[in-house]
Amino acid sequence: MSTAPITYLTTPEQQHLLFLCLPLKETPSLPKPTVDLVSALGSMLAGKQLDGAPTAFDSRPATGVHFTMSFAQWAPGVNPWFPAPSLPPPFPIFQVPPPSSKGKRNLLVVMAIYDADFGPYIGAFTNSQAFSALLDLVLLNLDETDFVSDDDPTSAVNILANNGTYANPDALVQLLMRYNHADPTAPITAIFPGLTDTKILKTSGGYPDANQLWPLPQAKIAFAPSVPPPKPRQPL
Amino acid sequence: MKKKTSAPKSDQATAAQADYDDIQGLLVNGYRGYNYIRFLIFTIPDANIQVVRDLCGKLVPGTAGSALTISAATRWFSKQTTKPPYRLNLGVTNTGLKKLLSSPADIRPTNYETVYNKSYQLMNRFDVGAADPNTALRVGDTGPSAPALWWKSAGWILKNQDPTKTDLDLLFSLYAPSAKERDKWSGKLMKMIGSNSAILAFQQDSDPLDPAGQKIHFGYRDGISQPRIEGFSEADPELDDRPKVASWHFMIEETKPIQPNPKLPPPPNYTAHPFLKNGSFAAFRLLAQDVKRFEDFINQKGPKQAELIASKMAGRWRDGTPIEVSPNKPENKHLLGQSLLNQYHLNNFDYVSPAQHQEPKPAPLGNPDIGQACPYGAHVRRANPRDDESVIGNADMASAHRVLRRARPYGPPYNPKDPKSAQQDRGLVGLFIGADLSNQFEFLMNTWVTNGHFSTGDNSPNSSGYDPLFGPPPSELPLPSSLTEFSYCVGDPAHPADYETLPGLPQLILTKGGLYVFLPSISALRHLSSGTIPSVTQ
Repeated sequence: MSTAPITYLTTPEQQHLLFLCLPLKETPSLPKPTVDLVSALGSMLAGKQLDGAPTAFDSRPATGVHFTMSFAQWAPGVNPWFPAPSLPPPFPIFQVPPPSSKGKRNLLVVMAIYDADFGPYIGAFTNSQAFSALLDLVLLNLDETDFVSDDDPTSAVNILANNGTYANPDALVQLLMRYNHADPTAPITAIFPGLTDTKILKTSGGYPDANQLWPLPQAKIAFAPSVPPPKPRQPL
Repeated sequence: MKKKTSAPKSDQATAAQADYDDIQGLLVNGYRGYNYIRFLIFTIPDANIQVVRDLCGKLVPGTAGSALTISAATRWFSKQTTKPPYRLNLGVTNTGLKKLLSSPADIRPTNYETVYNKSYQLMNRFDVGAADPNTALRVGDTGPSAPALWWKSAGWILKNQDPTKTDLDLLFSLYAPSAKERDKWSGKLMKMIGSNSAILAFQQDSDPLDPAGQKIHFGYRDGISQPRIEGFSEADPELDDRPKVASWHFMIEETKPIQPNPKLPPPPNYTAHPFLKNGSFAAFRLLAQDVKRFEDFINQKGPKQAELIASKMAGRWRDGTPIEVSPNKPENKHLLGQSLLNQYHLNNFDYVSPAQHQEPKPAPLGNPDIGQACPYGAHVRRANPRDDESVIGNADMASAHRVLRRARPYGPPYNPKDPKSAQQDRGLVGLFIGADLSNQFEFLMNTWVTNGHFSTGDNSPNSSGYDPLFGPPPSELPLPSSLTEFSYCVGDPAHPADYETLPGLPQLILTKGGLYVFLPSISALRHLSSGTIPSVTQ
């Protein structure tokens, strides 16, 4: 049986880019909850069962996340969790947000590639109280001073004052869109267009043995060392 | 796949009498027996706002001297024997609520803004409304269903006003047991409203197609599966396998501080100003159905196959029998002809493993893990995937996204022998109710009805494409066959050759009107009569 090439993609089959530049409160060092929550969010995406959560639930088809990465612009000498090279480029990668009337700010950059529309993607996180509790921690560390009024229903302050992200999924979507530098309606140029998490994980007809290869919770993975490229040549 | 526990002997939480007294009857009862309905949509001239506030006061149940009052849920709870002669319910749109909760120009925020700011999750979709372009895109109202084309049917009364530029503020739903009674009570209502108050803009009647008032124009028995609302269910908990859905999905609860606790039932996933308490939100829809196209589509393999195809498209045979329990033929007469237990069989079924009281047990087609007697693409399965957690967004027996359907047919029955009949306007009109329009009605339409690819278990060739009872809207881009065909399994779901695929799925439903409305509680109706809101208690 011949198979026709893909020439049309429905919205759920498309991939989109999330590119958040979130203004963080300035603190002298990385607050531990912030570090923990980023790793916890990653673990949850990979199906890890959090303390107190009833079961490990496969959020991959719902979130449609293929890739995620975080980066923090922080005080000098503080290591970001972005895999930064030992030799930084001779210019800043990201600018920190302008200082607010209250003081300086730090920056948290989050990138992800996900399937389908932005609303269902974020909704897949806020549907879970455990995920939402982590997102609340992110909001707790935001400094939106001068960007949006605290009284605005979509401000981090207002969301947290009204039972957090679990009870304010639409407001969270709009908060994130304030800082999303990617157009959530523009499909990215995928190398394999239409290859969604849902298709990979199909019970039959998906990627062979997908659920054994990428089980829940995720197996511990050992990474073989990568070969570094040659260092930039010193002037002769 | 985890299985739900069996139904308890009684609902643990039972709503208090006071709650029933405060809730509009439509939220807990579909008013079967009141099969002659009139939907009346009004605009409120700015000069008449106070008159309409006064009208709201007269509509409060128990008001002396009022010809009609809003029907609360009270009667159905106390089991009075005398049936009321009519049932009347009220919805208020965003423009209507802004007018009724308006303040003098120098007072900010207005009462509307205060409620909005405290209830953002519930109010933000309501505030932009059903005709908003983003809303329309989300729920599939595009092309010939676009809001710019709405309200063009014979029901539009304000002939000299552009419907798209007219505030549609109030929606009355009047239910009566006969056409004569409907005319009588409608006349009294219009007299009560008067000529210097709200102005009638649109009117649509719904008459039953069968004596029981159960059928819709496509020939299906409708209104079978409604959510079982915790504390409000009248069903026998011993025999009813439907999962209980928290009442806050339909009757809005006032906000309380919450602490996440996975050992407790989830709290409301919204915050609400007390003005909204015991009210709800709803999408009012005027949906034209093309019966000739539907009949042509199901008859493309001949009349012998037509009923099977119709059942695969809906997930039920046209008499209501779920194909999950009876894949080969309708069994309704058999099911209903036995003991009392059997009335629950129309709803006691799941897709992955049988429900506790499911009878007869299914004879699986091919892979027993995947209930492919009913296609993933079938209307009832995508609207309520039940125990199938392979469906995106379904981790709770679909409870988070259920809607109450209060829709009935409009227009004359289709007569295939009359060539003119196909051109007549007919369809479905009514309310799709849920506290959170975004997470219930819009989620349902966006993620499950108008989009395929929502399940890791679905191996149909077109990944369920588009809901076959709606059919895809025309597109400027050439649509792929996956969106214009309907597939169902006739063997092993894992084998592509075991799917029957019907090409040329047409658009069968057009949206011809839509409103987002707030269904106020009786307490809120009192507040509307004075333009006030209750204070927030901390």
